[in-house]
Amino acid sequence: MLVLTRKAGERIQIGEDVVLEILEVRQGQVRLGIEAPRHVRIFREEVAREIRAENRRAAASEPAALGSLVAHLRTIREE
Amino acid sequence: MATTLESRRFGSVPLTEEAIVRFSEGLPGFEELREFLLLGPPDLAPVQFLVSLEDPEISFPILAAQLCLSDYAPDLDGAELRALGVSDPSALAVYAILTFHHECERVTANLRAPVLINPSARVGRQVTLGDSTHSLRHALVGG
Repeated sequence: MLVLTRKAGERIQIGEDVVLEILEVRQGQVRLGIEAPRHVRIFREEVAREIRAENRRAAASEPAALGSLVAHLRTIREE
Repeated sequence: MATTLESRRFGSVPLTEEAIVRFSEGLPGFEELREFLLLGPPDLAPVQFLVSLEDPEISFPILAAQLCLSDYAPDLDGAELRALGVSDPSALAVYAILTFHHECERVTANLRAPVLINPSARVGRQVTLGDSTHSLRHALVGG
């Protein structure tokens, strides 16, 4: 892992079109500003982890409630 | 290619090329699985399943995202659409993966990371939306 030391107001360029700016460092928290093209999706790393975990849960789940879900969806359709 | 897929959940299922969807990057947590059968058992409609061809014991229950949330309109950009070979989002089928929670009769839909399928090219991707307004666990049954 590349490790850089930066101060508030300083920036890091990643590739051609991504820039990180350290906006504020206070009480153990860092606020970052990120400039990137629209196609670069940016989210907290926990989100990616949560999605992997949710997929594993979905694949493992025995759809015991499938019958009631299907009944529920059909009721909505008929309304 | 085998003409049937065998799994504990679905038994022996006919395998036709038209029902196979390729995910070039797999799904998050299942990056090694690239080919899925899109299975829609009539008795379970409108719920469908993506069943892995590489590991038929792995399947994901899915539901058209519009049935989870009628005004669901994920913000998809040009690069994502191009990756799926379309220029217009309306050419894609948008699904949410469902989670059946064991402890109670609770079913949730992952609207944060929808599954996008180009039905004519039979390619798909699960994308994580940057926009956090959509829930990872949108309640369908059981609140």
